[in-house]
Amino acid sequence: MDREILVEKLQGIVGKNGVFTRPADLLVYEYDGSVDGAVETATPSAVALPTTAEQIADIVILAREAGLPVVARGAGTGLSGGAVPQQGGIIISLTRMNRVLEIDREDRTALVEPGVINLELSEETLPHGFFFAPDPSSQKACTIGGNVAENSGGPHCLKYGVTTNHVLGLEIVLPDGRIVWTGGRSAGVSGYDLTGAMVGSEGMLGIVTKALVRLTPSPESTLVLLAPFADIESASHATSRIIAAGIVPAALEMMDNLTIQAVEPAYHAGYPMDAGAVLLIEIDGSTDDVRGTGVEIAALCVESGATEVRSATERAERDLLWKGRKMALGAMGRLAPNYYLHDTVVPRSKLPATLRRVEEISRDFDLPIANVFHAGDGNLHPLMLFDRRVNGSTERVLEASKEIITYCVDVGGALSGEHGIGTEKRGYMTLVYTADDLAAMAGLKNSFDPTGMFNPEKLFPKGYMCGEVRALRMQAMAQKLGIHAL
Amino acid sequence: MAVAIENDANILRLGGFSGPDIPEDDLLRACVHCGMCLSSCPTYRLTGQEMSSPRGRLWLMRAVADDRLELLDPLFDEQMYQCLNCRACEAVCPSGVHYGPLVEASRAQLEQHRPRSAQERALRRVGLDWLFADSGRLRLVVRMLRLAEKTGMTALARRTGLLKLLGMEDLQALTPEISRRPIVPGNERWLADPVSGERRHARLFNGCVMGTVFANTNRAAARVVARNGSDIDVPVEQQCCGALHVHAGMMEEARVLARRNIDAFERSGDDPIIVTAAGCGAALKEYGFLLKDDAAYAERAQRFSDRVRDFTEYLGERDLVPPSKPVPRTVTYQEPCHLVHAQRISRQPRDLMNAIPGLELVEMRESSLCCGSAGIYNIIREEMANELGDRKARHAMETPATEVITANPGCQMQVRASLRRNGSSARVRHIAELLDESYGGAKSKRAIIGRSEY
Amino acid sequence: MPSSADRVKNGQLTIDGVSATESAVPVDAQEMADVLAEAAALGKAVTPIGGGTALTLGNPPERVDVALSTERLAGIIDYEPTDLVLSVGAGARFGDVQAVLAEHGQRLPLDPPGAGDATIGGLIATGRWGPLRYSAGTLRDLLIGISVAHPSGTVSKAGGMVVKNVSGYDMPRLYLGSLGTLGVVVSANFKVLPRPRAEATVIASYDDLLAAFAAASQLRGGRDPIAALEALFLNSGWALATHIEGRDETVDAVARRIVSGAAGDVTRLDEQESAGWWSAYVDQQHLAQADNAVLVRCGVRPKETAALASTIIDEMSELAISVPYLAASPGLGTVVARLDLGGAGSQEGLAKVQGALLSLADSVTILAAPPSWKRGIDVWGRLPEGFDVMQALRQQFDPERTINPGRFAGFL
Ligand SMILES: Cc1cc2nc3c(=O)[nH]c(=O)nc-3n(C[C@H](O)[C@H](O)[C@H](O)COP(=O)(O)OP(=O)(O)OC[C@H]3O[C@@H](n4cnc5c(N)ncnc54)[C@H](O)[C@@H]3O)c2cc1C
Ligand SMILES: Cc1cc2nc3c(=O)[nH]c(=O)nc-3n(C[C@H](O)[C@H](O)[C@H](O)COP(=O)(O)OP(=O)(O)OC[C@H]3O[C@@H](n4cnc5c(N)ncnc54)[C@H](O)[C@@H]3O)c2cc1C
Repeated sequence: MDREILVEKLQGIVGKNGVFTRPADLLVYEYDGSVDGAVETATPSAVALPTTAEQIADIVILAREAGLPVVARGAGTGLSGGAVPQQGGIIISLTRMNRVLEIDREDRTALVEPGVINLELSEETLPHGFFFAPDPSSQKACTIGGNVAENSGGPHCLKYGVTTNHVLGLEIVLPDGRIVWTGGRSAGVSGYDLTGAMVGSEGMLGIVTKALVRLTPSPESTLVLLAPFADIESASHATSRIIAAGIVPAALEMMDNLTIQAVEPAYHAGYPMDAGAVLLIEIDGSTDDVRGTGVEIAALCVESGATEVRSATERAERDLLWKGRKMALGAMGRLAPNYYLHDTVVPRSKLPATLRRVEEISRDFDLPIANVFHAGDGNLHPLMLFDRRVNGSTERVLEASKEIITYCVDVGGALSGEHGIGTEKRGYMTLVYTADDLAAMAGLKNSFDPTGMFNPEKLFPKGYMCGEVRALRMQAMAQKLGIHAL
Repeated sequence: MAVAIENDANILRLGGFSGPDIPEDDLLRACVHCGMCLSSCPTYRLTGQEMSSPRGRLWLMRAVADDRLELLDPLFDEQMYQCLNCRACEAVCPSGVHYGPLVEASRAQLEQHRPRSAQERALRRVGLDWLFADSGRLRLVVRMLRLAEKTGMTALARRTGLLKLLGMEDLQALTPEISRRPIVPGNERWLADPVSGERRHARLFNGCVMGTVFANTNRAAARVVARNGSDIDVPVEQQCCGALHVHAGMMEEARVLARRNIDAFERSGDDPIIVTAAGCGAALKEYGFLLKDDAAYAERAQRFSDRVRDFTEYLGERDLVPPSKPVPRTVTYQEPCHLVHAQRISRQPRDLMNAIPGLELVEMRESSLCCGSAGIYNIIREEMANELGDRKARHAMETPATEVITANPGCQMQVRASLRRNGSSARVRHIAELLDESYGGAKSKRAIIGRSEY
Repeated sequence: MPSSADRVKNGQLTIDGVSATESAVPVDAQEMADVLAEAAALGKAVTPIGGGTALTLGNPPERVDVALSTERLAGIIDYEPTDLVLSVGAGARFGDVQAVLAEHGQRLPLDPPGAGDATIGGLIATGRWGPLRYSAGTLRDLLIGISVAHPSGTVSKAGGMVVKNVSGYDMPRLYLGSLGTLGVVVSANFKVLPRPRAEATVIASYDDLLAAFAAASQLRGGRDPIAALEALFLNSGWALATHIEGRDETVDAVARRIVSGAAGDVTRLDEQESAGWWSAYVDQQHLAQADNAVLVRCGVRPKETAALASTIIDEMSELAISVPYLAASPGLGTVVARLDLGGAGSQEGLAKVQGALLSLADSVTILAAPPSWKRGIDVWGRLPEGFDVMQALRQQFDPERTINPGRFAGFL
């Protein structure tokens, strides 16, 4: 399709101020929150900012006619290059669809547009006594649509579960331009769980235009404990013991000494500078339960070698203890100009060994690595600190990442706990998945998007063409049966 | 790729940037485009478009630095000036990017390289070069305005565009607040109430709008400071802070003003310099940065900046003499950008209000989102400023408050105008007036006229 | 219980009147996949058999050739009590798994009817739940990894043994509740949870529906640690059962409060008694095959449960159909009812009932009915939105419709 016609048609759908096609305008849509060097930038042919699902459907149909890929974009805070238009095409930016359409207090649900900002949904539902439980550290900026696409998590997912546990239904635009609802407000909807398949699908199956999400009642009481330990080992040990004791705290986070060195001078959260590691543990529930559980956890920490256990119940005190954790990534700027992190997950009992290995890798690569992570879930965030202006430093960081990832996979872990695969980690997919595993995923992709129009070049390893998948499976089947021609 | 900075015969160059005041490469590259700034940016909130976000603007600057975008591309110009420079992004940036100086340097670049529309230029010249470059002139204009009001010449004054320039278009609503007597530096001084400990001294930074239109607010602030145990006066020869010039990219003009202020205040040693306008305070605290390449002034500028205290910050640093007169009203607080974001002061004003007996402080939504005033922004980007103003008014009107408290003259005028436009008659006041009221007000303490120490 | 191979031999393995002619009992995943691939190539239909407790769930099969048993894939593969994760073969009995978990004070918080004999694979395939869904969700919230044998002759796995994982698409959720139509579950990994330290149940009687549901609403609106909340229709009135789980003191305090707040008859059951009561309660929701008995489940928005329950009762009485059993889950928006069609029992009769229910509820599933009545009716009710995507999925994963043909929603 002629470029001018495309532009004209797009403007016909979303209006003149809803389309960008000038090269200068497109510059700012070539990145997301991913780290330079780990994800290459790529420029779209056009950006559209629709305000309704119908407009999105029309854009999708237009893109199909024009033979262009479509990439959905929320706030662009993704850390795996999900919203970067690898093969150009039309970016559909959902930022102008940001209304909370309905809050149902009795059934504890909210119906929202995809561009609603995570934290603002919680703020809006707070007066009704609720919050939206998934709380990624980026919650101040990221959108519900992005959360759904990445199946995002956060510190409080230990108790409350990740995004998929809080999505009841979705309105989506399919690659053929139809608008359908998956799931819904009532239990027992028949057929396959398309909602479940959509969550975490990285914008490759459909574009979310509305989400029906579960709201969680705000707890009656909340307690935050801070437990410093002499070393990471004993902090990990305490973590295992808490989990094994059958206690499910609302959050259980660990920070190592390097992190404390960065955070404490910046925010004065009160973390002891000489601690090898601290655990930050939040418990919520009824006042009595919280008190009782708090005592138990404190005892377990002390038995595992905590030098003290401090507690905070007042909002301001709790916020201060949390501030150090929440701002940890940013505070790394005090230690080095750049950082890069992965978010592998290991079985919780493998935490001590994994952290030891991370330390070795840090030594081998002469690369400071700070650890600040969701210990309760075994979800690591090793932060490699470097200065990208130093020649070869980015490459060294990528090498070290590979070592860390490989180790985590070897001990039975996962590539990513919350940031997704995107383009960033697609090369690692074959570390965990066989061709048959990937073929099943391709089967899902093909069912929604047989021509590969939505967010191409993501998640599957490079060169893994969807067309090949069928052939591969046919071949496998033929082999099994000893049949040669199929 | 970064283009190395050439330092050839004092001509700096970074890709498409050249000449003095270019954005610093290191500052620029500190941004890792994580996007955490997005939701706090007023223009992004209104438009939802990436180029109208701090991250987007930094990326555009980087594109100019990398020679991927022309300095004079209309998008670059539009975005550098669409920014309110409210610095909300700086306060939330995990990487600590100094956004303000970067946008200011980019504007300086545009000022140097781009012909501006004649009308806009004229307006800016009158406003920034003539009016604000000398506080005497501003006092004169304000006197004329009062006269114009009395003699029914408001319409004429409005037509001249001067009212608009001063953000005082809605003069009718404003008139009762315009102070009868501007404060002339050197003329007024307040003596400390005896409070335990030694007698202290403080110096008031008068400011242009505060010293004229809102002179009585400055007096209220001075009385509160005096009640808290410090002599306070208004040193002579002080000038406009230059904030508006910096925001507009008129760096050289700003430096001239800065040097004069440094000279004026150096005589009073290390005494704290108290500021009642958040916008001025933020600019004064950045003199060190503004003059960092000026060998004669760099160090003195930093010393000056270190002395600067916002009025609420100053009070927050000492044990407050409890204000005693009950103020049985409900108020809400609008946080000036240059207080909460640029100076990171947000607890102190609330603590002060909570110390007033009988006063109830109710928070409004988005209290720290820019109201749209932003220096002269409401003049050059009227539409967006109005949208932000309406949003602010709506949030304030959702609360039961009968008064909106703030700490910056620009916000005060913008919020008032927005409230009126939206049909609210709530008062808008500076926090100093509220405190002063609870300390007994103007009758409790009079200034000694013509007796400034310096 | 005789093995399914024996049952096939004796012509006893009949699903909704269709008998299986062959059986296969693979010993590992690959063998399972081979059986499927061979059947696919030969155009045979396969029905996976787990515990055989819910074989009648779904539409009557178009064909059944091979009964594929998971009984030799029944081991616990990996269980790390300290990590609270479990990996188990599809053929493992749910009751056995729970017993192993209980030794470590842990459990899968799941209580579907008659589930003790059900297998893990069957539970995943049917995606069933019980009253505990109110607090603990369904298998959807517990399943963290899966291994599936496909008719392409391949075995694929997804997810893993960690509780948080976004490496690739969320395949486990796709397979859950798909009645085997995308592949046969070989093994599954779960996150398990600590057993509650204490439990109690309070059963309160009410004269009418409004009073019972008002009490339920109040409990739903509060913050008490309520594990399940069920309202049971007794012809004389209603009973509201509140299941409380948590720390001893809390459970005791909450139970006391509910007891003292109740206006009518009220009973409190603790620990063993409570557990026993609930297993008896769910057992009343058997997929019973008694003559003329139909078991249905209807779903609406939770806040409309009371209205649904009362309109079902009214509507059925208008159709002269008796409702010997009706239970509602006010927190889930579901009503399960046994309907006695009496003389009207027939295919048309069932179709009429389904039509009537569909006009009352968002979702209607006929859990059980005599096979001859079910013919031609889609027991899953309304065709779901996005059905053509579902068709495409079936086509991608099982192009020959080898597994359970015709049984799933829309006769997939
Ligand atoms: C500082 C920082 C901290 C972070 N912390 C966390 C954390 O704690 N936990 C965590 O899980 N993540 C975290 N992230 C990652 C990121 O914020 C999340 O993945 C977030 O959910 C992305 O949301 P977004 O709106 O920015 O999406 P984008 O980055 O815009 O898009 C992400 C993906 O979602 C797709 N998408 C977006 N909207 C839609 C839609 N409406 N329909 C279909 N597809 C869509 C895009 O195509 C893309 O593939 C962090 C990121 C940063 C920068
Ligand atoms: C007495 C009784 C009453 C019940 N009442 C209800 C009720 O009221 N509501 C309700 O929702 N549920 C009910 N159920 C269903 C029950 O709770 C479980 O969902 C059922 O246990 C499934 O497990 P199973 O091993 O018996 O499966 P089976 O009965 O063997 O199989 C069930 C279905 O799953 C397929 N399948 C089995 N194993 C696999 C595998 N490994 N991979 C793929 N597909 C497989 C089969 O082909 C079949 O279609 C009832 C069960 C019983 C015994």
